[in-house]
Amino acid sequence: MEDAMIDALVTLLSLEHVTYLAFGVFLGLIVGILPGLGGTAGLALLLPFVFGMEATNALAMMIGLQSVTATSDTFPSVLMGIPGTASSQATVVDGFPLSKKGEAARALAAAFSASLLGGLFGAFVLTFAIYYAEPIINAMGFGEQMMLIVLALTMVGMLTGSHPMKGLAACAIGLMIGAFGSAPISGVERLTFGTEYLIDQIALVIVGLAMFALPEIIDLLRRQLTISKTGVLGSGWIRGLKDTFKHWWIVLRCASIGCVIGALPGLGGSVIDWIAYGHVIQTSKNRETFGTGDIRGVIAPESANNAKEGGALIPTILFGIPGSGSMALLLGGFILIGIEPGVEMITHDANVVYLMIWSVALANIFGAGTCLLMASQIAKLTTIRYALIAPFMFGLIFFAAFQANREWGDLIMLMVLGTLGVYMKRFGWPRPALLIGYVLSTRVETSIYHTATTYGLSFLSHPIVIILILLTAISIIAAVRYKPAQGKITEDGVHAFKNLIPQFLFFGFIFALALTAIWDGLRWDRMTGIYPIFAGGIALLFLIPMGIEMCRTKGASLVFYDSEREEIDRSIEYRSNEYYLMWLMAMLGVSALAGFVAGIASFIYIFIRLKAGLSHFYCAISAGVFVLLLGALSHFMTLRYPEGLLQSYVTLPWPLQ
Amino acid sequence: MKLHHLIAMGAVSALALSTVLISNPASAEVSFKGKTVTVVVPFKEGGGSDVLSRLFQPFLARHLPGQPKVIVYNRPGGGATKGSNYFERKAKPDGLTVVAISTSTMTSQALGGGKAKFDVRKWRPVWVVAQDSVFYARPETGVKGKNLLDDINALKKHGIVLGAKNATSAELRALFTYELLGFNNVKTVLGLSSGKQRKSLMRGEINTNYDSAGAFTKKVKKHAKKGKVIPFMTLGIPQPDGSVIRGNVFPNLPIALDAYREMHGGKDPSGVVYEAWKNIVTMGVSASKGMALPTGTPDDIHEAWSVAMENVLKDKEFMDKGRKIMGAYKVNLRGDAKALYKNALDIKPKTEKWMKDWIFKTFGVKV
Repeated sequence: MEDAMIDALVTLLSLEHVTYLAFGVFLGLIVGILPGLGGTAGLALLLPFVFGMEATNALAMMIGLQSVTATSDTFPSVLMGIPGTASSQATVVDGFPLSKKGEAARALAAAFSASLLGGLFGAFVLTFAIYYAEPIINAMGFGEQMMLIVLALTMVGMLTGSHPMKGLAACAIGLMIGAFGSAPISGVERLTFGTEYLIDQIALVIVGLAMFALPEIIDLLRRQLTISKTGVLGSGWIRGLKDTFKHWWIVLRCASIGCVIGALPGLGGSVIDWIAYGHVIQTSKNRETFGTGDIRGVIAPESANNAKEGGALIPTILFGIPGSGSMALLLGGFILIGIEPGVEMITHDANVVYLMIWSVALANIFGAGTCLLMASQIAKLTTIRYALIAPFMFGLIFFAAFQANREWGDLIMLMVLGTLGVYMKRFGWPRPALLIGYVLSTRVETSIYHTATTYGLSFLSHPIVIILILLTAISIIAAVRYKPAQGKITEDGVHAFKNLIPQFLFFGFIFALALTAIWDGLRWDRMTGIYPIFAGGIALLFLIPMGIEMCRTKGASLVFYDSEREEIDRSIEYRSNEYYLMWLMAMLGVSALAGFVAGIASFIYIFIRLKAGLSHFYCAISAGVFVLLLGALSHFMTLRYPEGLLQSYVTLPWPLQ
Repeated sequence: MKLHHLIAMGAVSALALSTVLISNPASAEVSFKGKTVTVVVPFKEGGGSDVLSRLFQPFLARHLPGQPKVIVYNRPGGGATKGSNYFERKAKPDGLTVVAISTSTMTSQALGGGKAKFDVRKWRPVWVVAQDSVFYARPETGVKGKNLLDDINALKKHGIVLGAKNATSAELRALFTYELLGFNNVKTVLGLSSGKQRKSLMRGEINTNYDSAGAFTKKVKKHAKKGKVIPFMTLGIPQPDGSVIRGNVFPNLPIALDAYREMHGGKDPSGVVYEAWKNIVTMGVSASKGMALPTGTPDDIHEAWSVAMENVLKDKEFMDKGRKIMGAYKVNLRGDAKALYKNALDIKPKTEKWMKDWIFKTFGVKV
């Protein structure tokens, strides 16, 4: 074992290896920072080059890329409120408010140092766990996986906002969104309304962007001149580093969570950040500040999401079974270069195993180190006039959404769900709860079915199941006792008993959505239809008491919420949510005529001209730069943008096609 | 500013930015010099078809006339339906666009409920390669791997629990095989991808499984060596002429039809169950992976591709790498490739009705 370790260490630190690793890290940072592109896209890009390379170099490059995409995606999450990849969605909740307070540099420094420590911790655990993990992972049957999912669902209790029923109903909306598309068990297409687009489930990246990015951008445009309220950067990144070290205990716990859940089958990577986030709220004292820019809310998910990569390597190496799409590609790459993952590898090729594990560690040091150094500079974005940034942000999120299926439906779906997100924000329906419900929806459906068909109720006697039930009970008790921050109830404030029609309309819309799910479920056979009925039923279970409360309350109350009643800075031109939604509709309209590239280019041009008042020359340059960026991406990543009417008549040259 | 002003301004600026280009008509001799060939892969990055297409990418660029640039364009969704529809809609018969075909392209055409707007039989196939299916079981089922008939009787006594992705997927080939062999105690756990099937087999939640030859060699063989699982048969490979032969990767394993013949005094199966079995097994085994040019591609372009493919297969560098991924199966070209897709998808109305009834009877799912 020592021989293998030394052998691995020598290779690890050789110049050649470090160079390839650094190149992988560099690529990984770039694809991570662009919203919508993650490790999977980056690895796919590398794969053709891997064929002819030497095994260890290819390995270094692939691992370098894979390990750091969850690091650089923190930039858009913290600075713009755009979740860069699925694994940094929870970072948005507290990270973006910190940016708005003018503490972007601090938030980034804390996030990257937590990422770094988490990644190193993951690699450290992996070094030893790889020898003992096999029996534990093999013990995770259908019943155990189902209980793990139930435990994750209880985290919703920490994210319900000020009105529990509203929060739980929001989670049920997430469960319902998961019902659209082919049923995972029967394969029958339900709730598709006859469209081709809805054959597949709605993509997580679109739901994430719709819930967080789009409403936040519109909100910022309406309320602030720059992302940072004060217009200055405020306390810098040294403070962020100190925060991480002060909260080392959170880092350690969340890194362990990331590592363990990353290794276990059943949950998958995209909920790890939420579990870490829920966990830190559960276990913290004075937790009123979560959601409004609490540094602990940044540290927790960030330390978990890099540790996860180490954990996810365990099943990939041990069983040759990938835990995620990018792991599947990594595995494909391994096989191409002649590395056959499997238990034998640990005994026969231990040096390769160590090389892989420590490459993860080194990649984290490179990746997080680079980001940390750039943090202060990039954080200056938050002091630039927002009207200059927003159109690019809109362009980026539509680009990101388009990566889901690469078709027109992606843009429309982002628009539809984004509008839902805007109103959920306005009426105080907690969007994180929706996201947890959504992420877990398919897993809830399949795991209950698998457990029931295979075990009936006998799974309840499995020891791991019992432990998980106990943990679930503790988590529920913590949720019940948790009192989130509550705004003051005043007759004039956001909870006022005034102008309630919009709130009732929105409530009615959600109610109708639940009825639609149930109605559609009743049309199908049992295996296809039971889940929409279940999800819609859960929604009604929370919606009905909430509706009764709304009707019977005759005064200001927590059940009412309308952020339109908040004070708005008079120095900013007053515009409604609908006004900005119309801008986006117009952009899609132009795209329908002349294609997405032309649509977004003219959007940027006109928006900057009218909202920021720049000269035509600068407007043209801004639009041109974005078009070139899209063109470069289409060239390197083999992308084709949504076409308009125009393209069906004429062939346009690069980059306008 | 009013909305229609915005739209008008947008349209004007878009037109101002754009220049119209008209592409040159194709020259008489087939050459793709200076052109870009697009391989449409109707699956996500990292899937079997994607890895295979990326394997071919540099070799096609080397051997196609005029050495064009070759790119892989992923258009995933709907189990191959969306990307294949896109290909059907957009690809011109000029040899510059090909589509990767896999088993699910055919199952979504046959059982996808009308969402597939293409007919694989009308496309012009460039190459098709088979992947045999290996069946294996856990030892407690009584399977020994010595005599197929004994194993089948043991399984009939013990009862089969197996996994499948869903009620209409290509994995019907396993279920139809057990139907053909007269099983009546098969329990299916749906909603399991092939990776999850292997995991739950190792945990003992299901007791038999089946894998493509490639996946079996990479992921299951090591367990078989330790006796944790026992391979007992393969499906055999239906040929372009309709006969079913034993694959050359697992020459020692009997094929399912051997057992049928032994049970029925040497007689070959016939009738609607066998017709359905052959359709599904041709989709899932004989035509496991392939590539095609669009409907109406002229013969000279199709022939240029076929020749290029022959040269790829002869390329020494490709033989080393290709074998790792494709296995040592024969690659079918031209008429043979065409015949395989025809055999897979020429489903008689009576057979189709039987399939749909069987799915409804077994899973309660209407196709």
